[in-house]
Amino acid sequence: MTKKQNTPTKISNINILGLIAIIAFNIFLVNSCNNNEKKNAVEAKPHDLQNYIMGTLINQRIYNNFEGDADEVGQKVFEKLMDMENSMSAQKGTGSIIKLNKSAGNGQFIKLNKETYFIVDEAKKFYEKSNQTFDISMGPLIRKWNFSESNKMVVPSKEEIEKLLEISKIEDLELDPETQSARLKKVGESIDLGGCVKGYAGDKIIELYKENGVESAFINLGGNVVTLGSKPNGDDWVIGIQNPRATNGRYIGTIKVKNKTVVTSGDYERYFEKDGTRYHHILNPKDGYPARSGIIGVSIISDSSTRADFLSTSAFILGLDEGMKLVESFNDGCIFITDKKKIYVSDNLKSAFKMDDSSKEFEYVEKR
Amino acid sequence: MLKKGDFIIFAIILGLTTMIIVNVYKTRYSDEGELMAKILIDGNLEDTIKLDNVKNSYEYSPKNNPSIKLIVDNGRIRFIESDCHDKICIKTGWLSAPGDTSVCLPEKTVVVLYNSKQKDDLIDVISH
Repeated sequence: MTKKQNTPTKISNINILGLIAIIAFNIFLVNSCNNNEKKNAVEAKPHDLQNYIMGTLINQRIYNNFEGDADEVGQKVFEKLMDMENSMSAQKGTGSIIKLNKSAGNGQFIKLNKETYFIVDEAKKFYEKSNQTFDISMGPLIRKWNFSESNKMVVPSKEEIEKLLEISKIEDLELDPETQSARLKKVGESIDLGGCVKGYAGDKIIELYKENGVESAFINLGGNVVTLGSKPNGDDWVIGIQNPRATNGRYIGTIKVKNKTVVTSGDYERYFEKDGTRYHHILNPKDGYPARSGIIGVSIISDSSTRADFLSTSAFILGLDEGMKLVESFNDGCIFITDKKKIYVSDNLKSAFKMDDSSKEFEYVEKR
Repeated sequence: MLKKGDFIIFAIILGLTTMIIVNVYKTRYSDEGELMAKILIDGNLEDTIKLDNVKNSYEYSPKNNPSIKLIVDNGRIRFIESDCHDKICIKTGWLSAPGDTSVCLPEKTVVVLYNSKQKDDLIDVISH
């Protein structure tokens, strides 16, 4: 009797254990495909904000995994950008750059605010550092080419360009660090910070995020992407590199980054075509014409958004060999796309870059 | 050792849980969703437009900016009119895949394509 009762009890104990094990395993399976999504949804939600400042589209994504209101921080960021635009624009408003340009040739020094002075000074210094390719003194030429109104664009005559080159000289920009002021020597001269304001703003916005406790965010200033931290789950941000010959939003590859900026310059943003020639907005200070270096797009990956903006313009003008040398001398990374549709990536980025070209027109050249 | 009934219970539980798992995967991965266009004006969502199975193409103007005209076709959409001075939005041409974007900066209008089901987890943002 005891024997007959005992044996089945034992077996069913094992069976119950087995059942529990199977159920637990299955619950685990079902959960494991839910896990990531759930975790993110509970812990950090992205807040997307969009606005138009500095003549471009600005997007922010701020994750709310911090003590504070993501939307409020986003609004502060937009206000900061408007302030910077007001003081640094050469086109719009009554800021100090406009004043400086208007008083060109009259001998007067114009006081700049701290940030404006800083970026003007940095930009002027970068002219020499960049083999004389980054030049904020090209205001007169930029206005002549007028790439912002592509409807009315005409190619200026050689004489016009040569005349304007005479009043596009960085050494005519005088800076006085004592009084944080500046002046331009000759009548008609003007500076244009279009090639670096967004870059500098990117660094300032990251500071503002940090001051407000934000841990995980990015801002996209008209194609300049600046990231803070990583994604809330610790993953790298995945940034697409625009295909220079396709619709906005299509990319040739991706780059994974944390706490870095990705700034791209290309011949496809503002341009017009005449008699089969593409005239784009990146002017070479040496001759006053759109740069022809065999590059159609170049992206710089850096800790400093200001420097990345400088470097993307310079690298575009210098071309593959010299450009890559320059970028590497700052220990930054770069991705070059040539007019032969070949892609070259600096050694320090090779593990972070991934080719992903749905157009299948581009070729990644790993070894040069 | 094991009784016939135990095997039956095992089989039933295994079957049930497998069904649950298969269902979870199905709803998550095999539904392809629809191609949609998002219209944003001054940062605000103005409209979403279905682009799949458009039998007859039609013109669309956002309520908050009637000067803009888009044409909606089967699987694609594009700007055809805008009061802007540069007409970059029109030159952009047709948008036809998730992620495709056309921006009219002067008119503060963005059209961006997306898929209603798949969250585009591949990339966070594009540098251009």
